[in-house]
Amino acid sequence: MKKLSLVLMLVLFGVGSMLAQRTVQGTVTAEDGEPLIGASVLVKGTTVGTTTDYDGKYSLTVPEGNNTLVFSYTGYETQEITLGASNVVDVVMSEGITLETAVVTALGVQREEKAVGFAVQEVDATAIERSGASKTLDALNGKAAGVNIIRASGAAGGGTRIVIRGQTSLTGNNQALIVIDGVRVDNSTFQSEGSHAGVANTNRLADLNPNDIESISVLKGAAATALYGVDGARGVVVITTKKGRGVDGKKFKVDLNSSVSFSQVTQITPTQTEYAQGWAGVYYPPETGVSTSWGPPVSELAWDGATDYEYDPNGRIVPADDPNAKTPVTPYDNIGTFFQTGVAFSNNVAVSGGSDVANFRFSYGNYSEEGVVPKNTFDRNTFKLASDLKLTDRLSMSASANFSKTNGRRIQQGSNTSGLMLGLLRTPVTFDNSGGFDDPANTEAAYRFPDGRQRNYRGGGGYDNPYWIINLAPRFDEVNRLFGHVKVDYKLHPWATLSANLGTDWYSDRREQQFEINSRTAPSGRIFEDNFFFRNTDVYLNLNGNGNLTDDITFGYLVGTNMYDRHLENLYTIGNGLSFQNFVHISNASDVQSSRALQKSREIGFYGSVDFGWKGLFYLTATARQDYVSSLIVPGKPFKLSDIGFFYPSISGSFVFSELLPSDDILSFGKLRLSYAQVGGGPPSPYSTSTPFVSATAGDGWADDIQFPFNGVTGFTLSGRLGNPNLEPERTTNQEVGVDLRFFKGRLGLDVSYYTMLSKNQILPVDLVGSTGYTSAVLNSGTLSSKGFEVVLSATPVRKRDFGWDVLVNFTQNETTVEKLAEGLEALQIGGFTGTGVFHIEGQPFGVIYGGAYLRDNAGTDADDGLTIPDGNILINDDPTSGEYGYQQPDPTLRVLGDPNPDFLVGITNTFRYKSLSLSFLIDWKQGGQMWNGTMWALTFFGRAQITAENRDKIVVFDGVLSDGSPNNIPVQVGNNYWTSSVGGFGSVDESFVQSTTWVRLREVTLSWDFNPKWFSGTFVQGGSLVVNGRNLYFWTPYLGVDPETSLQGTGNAQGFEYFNMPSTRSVSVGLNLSF
Amino acid sequence: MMKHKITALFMGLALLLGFSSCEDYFGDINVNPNAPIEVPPAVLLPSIEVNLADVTGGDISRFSSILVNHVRGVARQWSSIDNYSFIVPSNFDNAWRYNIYAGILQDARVMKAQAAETGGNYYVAIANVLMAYTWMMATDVWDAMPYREAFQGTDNLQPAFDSQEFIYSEIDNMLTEAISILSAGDPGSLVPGSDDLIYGGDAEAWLKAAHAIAARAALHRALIDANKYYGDVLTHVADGFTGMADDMRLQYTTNPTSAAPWYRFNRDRTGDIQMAEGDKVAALYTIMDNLGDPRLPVYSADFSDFDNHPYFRADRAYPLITYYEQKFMEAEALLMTGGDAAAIHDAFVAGIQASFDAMGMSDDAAAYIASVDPGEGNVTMNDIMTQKYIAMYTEPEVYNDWRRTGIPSLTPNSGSTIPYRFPYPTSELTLNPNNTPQVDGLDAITDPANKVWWDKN
Repeated sequence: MKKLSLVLMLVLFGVGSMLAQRTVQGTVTAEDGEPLIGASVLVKGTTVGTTTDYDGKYSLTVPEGNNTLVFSYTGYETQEITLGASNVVDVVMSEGITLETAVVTALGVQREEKAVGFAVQEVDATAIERSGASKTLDALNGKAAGVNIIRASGAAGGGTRIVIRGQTSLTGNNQALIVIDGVRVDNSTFQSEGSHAGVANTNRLADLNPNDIESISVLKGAAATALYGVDGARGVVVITTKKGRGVDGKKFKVDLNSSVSFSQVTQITPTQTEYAQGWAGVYYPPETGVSTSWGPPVSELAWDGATDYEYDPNGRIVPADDPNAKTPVTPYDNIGTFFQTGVAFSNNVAVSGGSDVANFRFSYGNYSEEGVVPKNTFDRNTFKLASDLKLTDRLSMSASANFSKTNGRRIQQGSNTSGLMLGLLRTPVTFDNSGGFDDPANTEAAYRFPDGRQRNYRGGGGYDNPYWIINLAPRFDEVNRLFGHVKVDYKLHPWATLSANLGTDWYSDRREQQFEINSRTAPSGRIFEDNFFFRNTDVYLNLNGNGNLTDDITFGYLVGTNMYDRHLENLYTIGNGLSFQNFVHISNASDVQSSRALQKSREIGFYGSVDFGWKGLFYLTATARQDYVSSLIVPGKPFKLSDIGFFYPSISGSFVFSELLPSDDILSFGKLRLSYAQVGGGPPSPYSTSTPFVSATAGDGWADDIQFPFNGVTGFTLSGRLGNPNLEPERTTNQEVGVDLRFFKGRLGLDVSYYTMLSKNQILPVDLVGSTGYTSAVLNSGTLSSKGFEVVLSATPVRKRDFGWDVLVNFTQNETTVEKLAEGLEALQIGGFTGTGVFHIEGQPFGVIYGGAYLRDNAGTDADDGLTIPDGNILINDDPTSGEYGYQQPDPTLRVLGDPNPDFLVGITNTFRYKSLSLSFLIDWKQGGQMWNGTMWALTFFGRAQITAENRDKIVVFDGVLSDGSPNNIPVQVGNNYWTSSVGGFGSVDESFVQSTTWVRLREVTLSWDFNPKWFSGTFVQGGSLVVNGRNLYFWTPYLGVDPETSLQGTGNAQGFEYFNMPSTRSVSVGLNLSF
Repeated sequence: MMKHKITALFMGLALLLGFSSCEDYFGDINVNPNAPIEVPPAVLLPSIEVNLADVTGGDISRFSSILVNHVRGVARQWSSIDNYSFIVPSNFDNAWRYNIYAGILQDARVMKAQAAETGGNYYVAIANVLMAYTWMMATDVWDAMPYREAFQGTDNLQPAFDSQEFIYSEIDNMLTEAISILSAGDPGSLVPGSDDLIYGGDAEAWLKAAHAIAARAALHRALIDANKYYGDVLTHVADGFTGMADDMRLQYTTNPTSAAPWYRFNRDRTGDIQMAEGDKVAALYTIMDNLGDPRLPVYSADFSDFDNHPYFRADRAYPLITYYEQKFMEAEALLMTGGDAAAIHDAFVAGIQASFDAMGMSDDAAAYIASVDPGEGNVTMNDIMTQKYIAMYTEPEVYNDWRRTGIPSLTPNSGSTIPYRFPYPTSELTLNPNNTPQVDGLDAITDPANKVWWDKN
């Protein structure tokens, strides 16, 4: 019943009838007489408004009972004009800064910018729409300081990670909370397979159409977010969606937007094209199953022209001087011919309208993408309906409902034998994955023999042929989602407005992964269905008010309560051992297993906030919140509310010191802000307070595990994770100081923030030694600290009628340090592989790369801290009986090899406007940060990495010393023995494969042309624009592999790890916008 | 007035959502709906047994088999394990933490305690046998291990290590208790049946297995006190297996998720391990080749043809301890205690015959035995241990035999020493550094000072 009533409440409100009205028109100009184009004209207290045309002219129908117009334009002071008898109102606007600009802060409350004591940054709809990005988070990239956005994969439908001001949790979610129209919306990225294998999954904010966004406000510090409770400690992205608006003289406005985008892969790990499949200079053909390309030079080989050879229509490969040699072998370009130009279409239509009492906006968007990998598709259909209703002077309502359906067809990637790049890059140049067919992606004979065996370079073993993967190992998914909210405001008193906001978010994410028989990941065939059902309910009830206590003192308050209910269910069915090919279906599996996991949690919070202002000079805000969370409940223990509750306060203030200075033309505005805030938190996941028995598995990590039921017998095991009935809440404390300066009437702005963050008492699963009887325990332990600078520099060097130039620079510097893990725990692996991984290590930055190094002669001495690579010479193996004589020795102690976190990020946007043309480009510079190039590491083993051709079989003497300290003088041959030794690929030394990921990137270029409305006079068209956009067109990086922005483990905490990642893409799009 | 309105509204909201109090709102929402807090012994036993067979036939078997040169690592990580450079602590976390301590031993403790409470005598006995087997397998490759301070969860994050000698005395106790319960023949109120994947609840079979395992435990300590322990071997053997039907085996299936460990490894890591590839030829291959052993083609069939490999197929009944092993133990103990020449010879021949029987190659045995049998009175330790080495293809016990006896003579794959043991896992080395002996790298595991306690060879 509850659910039903909620749905009913989301149904569209009717559009109110039009009342008596008058039409006002006029021109808006600057002081120099130049018309202002696109200035906003709004009927005060309503949503009725319009914008000025190319000549600065406007015409607006003003409803009866309203007689004030508000004129605003960026960089000019806002004016309010009370209407007289005349219906012509011309306005001259003066340059200046609009300090009355409101920013959206916590709980959707709008505050005057100057009263805010913490950093907030806004990004408007145009910047989102014109970014050319199909997903909201991608569109935000580089547009706000303190925000780090990582697009994990170039795959269609791949996820994007957003971290604001560094990490606050060692192992939990570090991504910003997403709030849309005042309520929480889920942005999870669920994995169906191991975090370094499987497909690129979508982060669920992608279900929102960026065209529906009115503005985005990024709340960075805890002061801004204390009112969002536990989740707010990670920063909040507050999205306000578009609403309907009364349009002059018309009942409706229709916006159409259509674009097409073309994308290509960017750089790929360099591979050699000179040497054939084989070992030690001897060619081994595909049917031998040999994995490596340590064969002879291709130039010494020929095809024999045999037509009966199933692996190559050109025949078998023989030495060039063989009597059967027919044609010299030319290397196949498997990589270059594999990728295609990706195409994406985006079409959006929005209808909006309204009156002074009601408005609505309905939009439909379709996005349809085929990626650079053939048969990788992502489609999204979104419907959104938003409506506001002013029922009486006191009572108003607003509601929106967003329905989306997304479909993906995804490709296996990463560390798995069915991973696309893994099979593609390992394929020797003497093997043609395409089998000589023109359209191998659509020609079965390219990848499957008639008898069902796989056609690949290892005779059916090893790794999947990429064409096999895209055809016979697809992942299908469909997400159906409804989210929305209903908000009711009732003005009880001039000093008291009661608001209730009820939001809900429901979706099902149904996935099906197929592996045809003879797929390398599951040679006997496999299918799994992985279904997620998510729903949350987020309810707010607030009472707030504000006004002037005296002429000098302003006062505002807010008290409220929030109830949040989250429900996530996962149903998983896996079928192994298919009986026959061409029917990958659960009914064809001989071994079917299912599991169900349900996660439920509830929170209730009570909060309050008061703010005071004095003479527009000082502002002070204090908040407090008391939370109760279900995840702290200990089953079996008598319920006590105080056991599950925690309290936290915040205080922030601003000092507008420019008020005290004599007004001059240089410093127009100056504000100092300070804040202190705490946020508490319960366990990141429910059920952490008890230790249950779980369905058993058995295995060792080298192969797929045994799953119970075992041959029809169920088996349980005591969970290796020891629950903790004595958990305490986590605490994050945030301090911030900032200064906001505007010069030359706002033409130049500088906003600098410095913050520190300390997150203590973290609740995390801590690894235990096996001899405790458990593998991990949920403990209160761990401290993270962050500090950082953010600088926002904005400037308008030129502002003329025909020409304008705006600059926006966002600088982000953050340093997060792992201060403490658990008692006795010095390192905690959060990702990567056994032996090389991403670890938290005390005293080190968040998630460093930890793995094998060369042994130095100072290892184990006082110069060795046992953690970082000690100074000194590399020790060379001088044991003549060793198979690695003359090679560098591996250090048995694992070392910190690199830090994936950037030193700083800079986003520079320049926007030039000439008449109706606008050109904007965003340069994104990331300095520092390292990544483990596991692709290159592995490809050296296989003799496929470019470096294995550059020095193949050369005799070298490695830098280093012998055991007696003398310089190394042992010549060795750098060939297959070296690169497959313990210092080569798959060896234990990773040091030489950790590389810098610094980049300078042309993230975004936008050229837009606004049509002159005059062209359309007399038609129903009101205006339009043409936008040409390029994304990620060029980047420079020293990293020798794919685009280092990609991440093996997707949107998770473990970054800095690359292992056959899907490459990123660059794209160009052309879009047309029209409004009627 | 306004205050009332607000209170009413807040209450209205709560009622709308259907809750009358906070306790009602939260309810039992944090009770894990996915996993029970209590389970009966009948669902723990299968998990313990499968984990035991899986770790025995998985990591322990693979590493042991490389060290005794039954097989060779020829690709990827296994080519570095083959030359010992990648026999590193991180490779042993899985077996130590997940399979052994937090898996088999933890669950067996829980099962034993539950069964003791509810009168499941046989479950208590079986738990003891399985724990004894597991402790022995583990201490044989790791020497000292936490025992007395283990299994205390967060109450003791860094348990102290106990000597192998102490662990063996506990193994003796567990087996003695098991033998006494099983001999008494009173199953109690809770009787194992189809949940016992090894013996289907057959107490008599468990009793024989307990004796066979006790014989193995005695044999390992022969270098400590030959008279005492060889004597114990013979005592237990007398009450042990009487034929191959008694073998302690776990039957795997052709279902991919309940397939045998070597099969799964070869399926998912195809080509990493072979018996002979290129210049990497296992010593076992050479020895069998020289003897013209008819089992060689079976052993050395391409591992990559994992569906058809006669030894590494999916539905193998994985051997934990067998009649043929017992026969070789008997032959050794008799020989070393100056036993009757005919009895020695009988046991030796019976061991070879049983090994052929177990492979379904009974008919091929006679000719082979004739070619390797030195005749009554001439059977040497070398004969026994060589045939045992051949018979127990890829079984971890071979590594114990080889360390005890040095038979057959093996050449290291690299360097001058075959590792004497496994390194401790990374988890204990890093998280329990004050207690864990620093046996980590290749230097440590090839250092004679780090040999396990019973390895006086």
